[in-house]
Amino acid sequence: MIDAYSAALARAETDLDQADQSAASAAAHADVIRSRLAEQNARLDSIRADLAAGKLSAKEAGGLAGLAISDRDDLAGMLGSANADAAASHARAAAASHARDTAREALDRAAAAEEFAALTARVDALDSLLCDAVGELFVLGVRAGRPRVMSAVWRPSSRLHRAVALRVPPGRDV
Amino acid sequence: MTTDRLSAARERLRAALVAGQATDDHREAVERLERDLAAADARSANANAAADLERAGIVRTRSEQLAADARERIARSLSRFDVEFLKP
Repeated sequence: MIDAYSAALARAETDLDQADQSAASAAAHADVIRSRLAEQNARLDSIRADLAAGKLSAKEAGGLAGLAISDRDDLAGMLGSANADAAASHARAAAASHARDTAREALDRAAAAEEFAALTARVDALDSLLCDAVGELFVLGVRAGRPRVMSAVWRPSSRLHRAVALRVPPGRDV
Repeated sequence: MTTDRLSAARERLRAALVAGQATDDHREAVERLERDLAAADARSANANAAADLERAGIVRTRSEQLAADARERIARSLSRFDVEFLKP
């Protein structure tokens, strides 16, 4: 189980790396277009200012502005697409991040299950050893003149008693 | 881009056929562009295969590392309980 969940997590991590790179690339592309759009708007402002200052004739300004407006409109359309791409890439990265977290939790759960099974075997072995030891202790106690009652020979610790009789986990918060 | 040029070359070939003009040059252009396109497709396929192979290697290495880390954590945790009398 650990091998399968490790492979799934490794794939999810790689997917996330790729999705993050794509998202960063898409965001950077949108930033470049946004910057070019700002330059075109500044160019238009400059043409208007030159016209007002008499540095350009109305005909010259009209020609330049027409080009600048065409560029600006094209860039605005490109920016819309780039923003949509960036948003979609960001959503894919978020989904990949969620998938990575889910895969991480699955591996942690599988590891905990494996550890639980191994520790259960150890606790069962301890239980058997304790029972054997207490049985011998009882025989020795009787030989030593103690009454033939269990409580006269051995009593579990309060923690063990609470765990077994009252089902209170000993020692640790769960 | 090569695809666009190929479409245009085929269109010119068709036009030459319809007009009854010589088609040798047009056929040669179409064949050359088809070869270019096939070569580009092969390069792209090879690049994709190489990238897939590299990614599979990265995933395999990382997977082995994750599994080893998980097993090491389990072993470390269990070792606290492996007291001497539990050993066979």
